[in-house]
Amino acid sequence: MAARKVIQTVPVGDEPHGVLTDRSGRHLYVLNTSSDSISVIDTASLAEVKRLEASRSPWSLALSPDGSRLCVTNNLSRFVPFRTPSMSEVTMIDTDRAVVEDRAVVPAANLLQGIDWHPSGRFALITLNRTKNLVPMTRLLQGWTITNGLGIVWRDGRVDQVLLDEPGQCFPDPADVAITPDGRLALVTSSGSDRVAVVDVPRMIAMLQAATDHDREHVFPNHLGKPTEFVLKHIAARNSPRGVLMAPDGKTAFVANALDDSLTLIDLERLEVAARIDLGGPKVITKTRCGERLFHSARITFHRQFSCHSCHPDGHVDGLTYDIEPDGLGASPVDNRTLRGILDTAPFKWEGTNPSLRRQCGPRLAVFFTRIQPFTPEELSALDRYICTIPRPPNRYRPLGAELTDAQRRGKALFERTTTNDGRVIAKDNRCITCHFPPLYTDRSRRNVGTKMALDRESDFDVPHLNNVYDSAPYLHNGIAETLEEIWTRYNPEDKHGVTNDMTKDQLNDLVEFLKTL
Amino acid sequence: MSHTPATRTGLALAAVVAVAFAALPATGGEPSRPPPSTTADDQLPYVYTTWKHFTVKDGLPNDHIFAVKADGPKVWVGTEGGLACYDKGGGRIRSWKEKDGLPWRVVSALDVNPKTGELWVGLFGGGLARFSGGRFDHFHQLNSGLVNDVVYGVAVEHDNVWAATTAGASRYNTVTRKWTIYTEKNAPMEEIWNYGVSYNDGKVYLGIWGSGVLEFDVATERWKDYLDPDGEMEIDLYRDDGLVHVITTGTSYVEKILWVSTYFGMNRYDGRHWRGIYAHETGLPSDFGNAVKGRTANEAWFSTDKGLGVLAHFPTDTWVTYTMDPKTHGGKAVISRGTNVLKTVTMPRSLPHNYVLWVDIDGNDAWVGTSKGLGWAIGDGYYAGLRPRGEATTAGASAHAKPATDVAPRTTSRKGGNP
Repeated sequence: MAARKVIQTVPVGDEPHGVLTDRSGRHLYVLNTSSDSISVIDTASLAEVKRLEASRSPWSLALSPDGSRLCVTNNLSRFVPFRTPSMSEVTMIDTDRAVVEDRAVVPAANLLQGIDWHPSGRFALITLNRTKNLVPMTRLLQGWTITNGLGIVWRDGRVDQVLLDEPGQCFPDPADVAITPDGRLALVTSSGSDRVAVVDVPRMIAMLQAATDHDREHVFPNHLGKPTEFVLKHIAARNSPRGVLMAPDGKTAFVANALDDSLTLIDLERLEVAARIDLGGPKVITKTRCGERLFHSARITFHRQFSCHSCHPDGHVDGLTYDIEPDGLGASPVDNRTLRGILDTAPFKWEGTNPSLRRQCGPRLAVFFTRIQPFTPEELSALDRYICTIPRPPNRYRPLGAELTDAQRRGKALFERTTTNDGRVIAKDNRCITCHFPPLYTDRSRRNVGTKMALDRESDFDVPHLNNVYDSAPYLHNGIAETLEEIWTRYNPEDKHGVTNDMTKDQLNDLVEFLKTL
Repeated sequence: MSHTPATRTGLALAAVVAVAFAALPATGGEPSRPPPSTTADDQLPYVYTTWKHFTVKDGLPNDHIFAVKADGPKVWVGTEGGLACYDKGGGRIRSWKEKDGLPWRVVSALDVNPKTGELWVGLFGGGLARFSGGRFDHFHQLNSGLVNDVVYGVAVEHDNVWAATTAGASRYNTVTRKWTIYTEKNAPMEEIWNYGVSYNDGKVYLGIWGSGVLEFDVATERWKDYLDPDGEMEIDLYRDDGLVHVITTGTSYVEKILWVSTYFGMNRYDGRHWRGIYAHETGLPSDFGNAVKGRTANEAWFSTDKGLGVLAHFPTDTWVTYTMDPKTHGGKAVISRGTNVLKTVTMPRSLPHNYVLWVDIDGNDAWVGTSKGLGWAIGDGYYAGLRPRGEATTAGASAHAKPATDVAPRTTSRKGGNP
């Protein structure tokens, strides 16, 4: 640390996001956000000793005051049955044994991100979204598309939820929370509205404890009027405030403004901004950076309810299936698609009706999503530029330059095959490689692969690109397939989505292994 | 016990040979022809005389116990109607059925990942489940690379989970999420009906219905097959020439010794020498083996359709055979050396039922799954091997020394089905 040099690199899972040691310093916990796992590193040997199973996209972690328990938020909901509400998880680790001891369920919530323990050790606070993806997005006008709030995770695993939105003044994209050492205040960042909420913790807890179980389970999680009872103030920060941290003396809070390259210092006695610390970022705001700020700002939605980032966190997916258009409750459900590596994959939308991102993010966004004045041409151009630059991460299944494994090689042959196992010729239009040809693995057409279901109005769907396909579950236009295997074991009964029903189980495994390398 | 290939020498010789094994080291070496000794008859193995039973009345979801796995203070129980966990500290049973999130009703196999504490659950017809922190994750042949949903056995090997299924074996790497299937295509698996899988000390063993035992060396990822040199016959033409039969049901590898159960007798293999173990010449209650659990190189517990056979001291061929009286439900343990009964111990209860499906060792204790409940054999004062009669433990039960002449020696050497 003193020399500020990297002394060793420890391999862990994909996209490590949060790190923390236990109290003794014996184990370092690393959240592998893209691998849905938690690496446990022995700090003496700097070797990974075990890998624990998280939920989906583990995000942040916090150690209980007594050091016995480590809680992990998970950004994405668990897989749930088709057209049912989200079910997210806080993973709890027993630090003595370094094993998962409990998994607190947070119903109807997703994007669990920030977390901090109350100094009493009785509960932890987490940030969360409550995305109403089962009703048309146009319900935004009624204030019911995405609500934002806090979860109170009690020591015994019970979870309360309260909102931080208020009518006409939402609190989009709550990203982090920190509690003062005396346990009196909690600061919560809203990266979508560039604000910090100050929560009176005792008052919020008293409100919960005075309520009935029914109200705690069914009313408070959706009650836009309750925040006025415990939110003391909102403090303006800079672009996209995310991380928040308390000074040990409890006098100052530090807020990291992700798209401003700065820190905001908050005086906790006066509850006002004390200073801004410039971290030395670029002084010239490029068009791409401008687009990135727009992407992460909720000012483009009615009542500032959400941003692009709310459904596409950091340009990726929230793992949900949405009902977007006002064509009937639940009609035409569509799986959220990643924006990573989206350049040159037009047309867009599962029905393939938007020829360009500008059309997708312009009029269509205003009509169906934001319900407010659309972006100006300049803004739209910047947003388009930013989205086109969102990169794909390195492929974990095929490191750069690595040869295919035996299984992957066999899978590639199946992907490119022209005959079935018994020698029948597969029609050209029914070969994997025809519609999903490299380098993007899409022919950018619309195809009927036999996946139309009762709620769908169309039978032809956009051929998705397959790059990093392992990282964008669920699959198919309506997100009904939880795994790659299910695309063919459940939803290809007539061999319309490629001829696959003659494959043996080991062949299908090989095919999946190859697809993961794309 | 020990034999010339074609004939049996009778009780006297058997006793002499058996006694002599006591002079051999616990592991390694050819144990079949030791010098005689005169002291072993005075030595007895530990006998479990304190038993507790658990059935649906105590909170189990079903009385048909297919699997048991002891894990510290917890004992996991797989039944035909769900999963249960007995908390030894609190004495409480908690159970999970499908309404509680268990993905499938019939739990046929269990193993625990010692590093992560995750319980892996084999589901007969329902694939695999991982139980971690109260959450079940379901893996089956439609949503994963699992080869088949009829899972008979589960074993954790490092970061991998093996599943023995009716259509081959699957190996799932929990870190890389990769599934590998082993069938006749890539393993010496003449039949693909995998009955059991076990892992220890770098070796995975598959017990396969009709294909003997397959050994997978984890370091080299190479296979080795063990078949019955006599072929699929019910007659043991050449004693101790290999596996007694290719219809194997269970394997257990401990202290470099492989124990095997089959439907036609049992085996012990030390890496060089095979030993066939049959009911007609030992304390094994039946040749119909459902499972085996090796405790040491010299002690193995055989689950059979007619009781529980514990080979308590291999060098002397000393057995403790546990049965229950179906009429009185009273328990009995017969201590024998070869076919020579040394002592009979009666006790208020032993096995819940004589049809034994699974055993797991839990420190000094043992857990026994039967077709009518779970038995907990409490091993206070347990000792391995033998002790002089005066120091042997049979407390809490009545013991009867039985003259050796009470038992007629059996002189055939055949691989029978059910005797």
